[in-house]
Amino acid sequence: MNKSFGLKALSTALVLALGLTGCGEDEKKAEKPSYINNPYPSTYVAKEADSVLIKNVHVLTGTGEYIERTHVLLEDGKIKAIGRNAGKADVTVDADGKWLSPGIIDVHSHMGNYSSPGVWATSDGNEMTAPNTAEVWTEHSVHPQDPNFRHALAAGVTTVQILPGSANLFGGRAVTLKTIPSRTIQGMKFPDAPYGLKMACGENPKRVYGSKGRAPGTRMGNMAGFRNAWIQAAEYKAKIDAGETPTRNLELETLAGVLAGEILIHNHCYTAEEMALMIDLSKEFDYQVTAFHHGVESYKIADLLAENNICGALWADWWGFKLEAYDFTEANIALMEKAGACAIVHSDSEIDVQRLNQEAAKAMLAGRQHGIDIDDATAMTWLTKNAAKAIGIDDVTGTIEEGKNADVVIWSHNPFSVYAKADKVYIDGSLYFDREDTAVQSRSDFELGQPALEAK
Amino acid sequence: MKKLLSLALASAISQAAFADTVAINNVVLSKDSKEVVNVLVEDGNIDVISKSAFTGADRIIDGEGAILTAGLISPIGTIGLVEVSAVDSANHAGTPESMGAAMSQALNINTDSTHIPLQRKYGVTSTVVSGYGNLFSGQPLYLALDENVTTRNTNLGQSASLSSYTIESLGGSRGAALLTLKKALTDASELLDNEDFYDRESTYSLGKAQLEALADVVKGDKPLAIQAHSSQTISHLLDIAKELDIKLIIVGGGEAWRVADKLAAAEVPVMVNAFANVPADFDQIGSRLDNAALLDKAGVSVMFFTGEMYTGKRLSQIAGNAVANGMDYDAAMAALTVNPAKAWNLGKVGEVKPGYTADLVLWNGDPLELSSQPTMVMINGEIQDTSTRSDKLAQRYLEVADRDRAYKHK
Repeated sequence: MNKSFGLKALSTALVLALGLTGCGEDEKKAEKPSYINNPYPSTYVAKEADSVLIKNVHVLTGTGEYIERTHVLLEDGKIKAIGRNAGKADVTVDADGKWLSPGIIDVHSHMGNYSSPGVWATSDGNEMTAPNTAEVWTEHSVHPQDPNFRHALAAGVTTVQILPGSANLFGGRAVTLKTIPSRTIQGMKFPDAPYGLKMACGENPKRVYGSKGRAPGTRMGNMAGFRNAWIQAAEYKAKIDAGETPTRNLELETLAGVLAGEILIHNHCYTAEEMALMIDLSKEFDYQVTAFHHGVESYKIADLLAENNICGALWADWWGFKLEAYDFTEANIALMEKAGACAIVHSDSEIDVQRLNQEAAKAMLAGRQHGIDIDDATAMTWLTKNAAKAIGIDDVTGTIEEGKNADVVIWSHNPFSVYAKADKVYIDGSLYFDREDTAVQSRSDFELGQPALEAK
Repeated sequence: MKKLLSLALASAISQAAFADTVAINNVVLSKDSKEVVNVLVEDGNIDVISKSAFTGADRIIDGEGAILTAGLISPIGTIGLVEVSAVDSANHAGTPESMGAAMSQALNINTDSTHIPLQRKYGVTSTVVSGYGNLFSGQPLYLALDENVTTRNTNLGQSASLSSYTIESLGGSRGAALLTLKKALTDASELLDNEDFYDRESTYSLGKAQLEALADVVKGDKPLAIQAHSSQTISHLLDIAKELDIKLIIVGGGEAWRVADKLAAAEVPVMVNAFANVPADFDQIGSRLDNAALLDKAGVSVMFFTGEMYTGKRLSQIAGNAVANGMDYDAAMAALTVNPAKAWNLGKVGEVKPGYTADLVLWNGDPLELSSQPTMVMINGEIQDTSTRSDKLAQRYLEVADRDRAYKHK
């Protein structure tokens, strides 16, 4: 099994597979098989922007490299050139020794589906009415006027994956968004980003449903729930693959999309033994776990995660809030890096999304305490390249490389300093945030005209 | 006695052997200071600070020019009350409503909590412990976070809340909640004058034990630390405090910057979480990252708190963020040390001065920077073990090739 993260490669593989059946009818289906149906497509179009030459900037490329004091040219929405001979542009920004990185990517966010203010009316992140709600799509819950999007943008975050909550074994589809002001969700959707599916192990599903007197009420109940669902999904997919047209079933469409390698699994899971079981489960049903999220015990099985090409989306210092988050080490992320596993710093928080760079810095410190020296260039991969890989957009963003989307942050200091702030944030080459220019700062509709935001 | 020695005399005595003394030589007392000093600790207290090095102490530490600060003070939190929040039997932060103001945390602390070393490791040497959420959550406790987890004061005042959560639990009316609070405080005052005539049915809003527990607060001897975010709630609280002549501390204060001048005039300190800039509820629409900076500029005494457990690193991280958002650096350091000491009247802690408790931290860099950590933590004059369960787990799994590691006995 060799599943890729890229949507295009997988769609092509699917078309080829279905193409074997031959007839025109099937070819039509192959263009739009039901499980890659997307009736709510992205309407995002990159803004036309002047080309920008950012001069004299220290670059953490996100690929694991550091380039001291160089120039970066953004043109036509892409990173056009890197180097002291990068060329000329409409606009020149002399960064004068500031720092530059790819736009930060948070693979675990609930912005918009748990909007601020956090009241019942905005609590749309978790369909806690059945253990398997693979049929829901979180993009149908996201409120684009959540003020947290603009706070994240101002902190250098350009892309976020919004996930459903973790009460369910299957929580529903995730969606990848740009942190830009938009009237609609479609206007924020990252073009061509693959969908994710949220799964959850452990305490949450067994607590939520067990307390209602229904399955699952135990961890073994969780596993049985996963297995039963995959059995049904495999049958459903087999029918489609055989050219049949089963009655549409939103739940099974999503699960079949996972089995087809087209939808990426984002699996909330804390303990080492459950992650190891989930890896075997993925082999039993032939799908790939893209990332375990939270994974407080990832360090115990970092070798297994590396071997199985599974990322760990982790916190620097969240622990102790439940028993499955008790075997905590601050060195979790550093130990993942040491084992050669794909480490990601994630937030799960509208507060911490604003300082993922600082969370990474704390993880570096914890590594040093145990003799694991991780340099800035490597730590930057936790926030950019590895995160992009986990949500299947690493072919277009997440690194400062020629041809990549010009999703770029200019930082006031080394981004791993507590004093660093994002001074300028570009998305597809357009300046979306400028700390010095209120005309390039946004407020959501909710905030507009609020007296509380003004001095008394 | 040695407190009285002048700096000039200090060098003369430095060659003498001190009983149970530790010298921390060759340090600076703030980030930008060029003035190298030497600190002598005796019997748990800072004894002398001298320009010349001490050579005769029982133990001599060479600070190599590093920064020595007072130990950080966490001004409010649930350390020792909560081991695992979601495990009922390991979470003792809840105060029964019937007990309310009469709650004391002194019997509630788990001194074996694995959270405590994770605070100590990052230079948090003492903490105020309190329940939260009720209108009154009882008398906060002051703990040293040394290896013995020494209680320093069992009754610092009273912890209260008028957060939107508390107001909702009281029926949903902010006005009613404020009046309920005020009635309890006036009842406590009245009871002080009429101790033999307590009759709850006819007069009093709370049980006698609760009202008695509020006595120090209504006498103005100890502070009422009250959680509130809305600038309007804070403003009403300032009016009530003025009318009843009580000392107030605002906890949370998301919109405190809007009433900064009024807070400064009333000399009411504010504990802020300098990360809070989102409209978490309708009481916090005005939350912003420069809250601490604006309060400090207006002359308000600011402190930082983290709200959740994390590790001690988050406390200094929050202070660093306040500086990044405009707060004066020295003011941020004061917010971590001397300001909690003064706000809670904790005694001689929070400053590096002769006669003060030797809660001292030696840093390998700027204490607020993310790459920094203590190289020595001293509490009550004793150098502390800073190892943690977190470190032991990391060590056990450091080598992934060792697949039997989970069964080793260390």
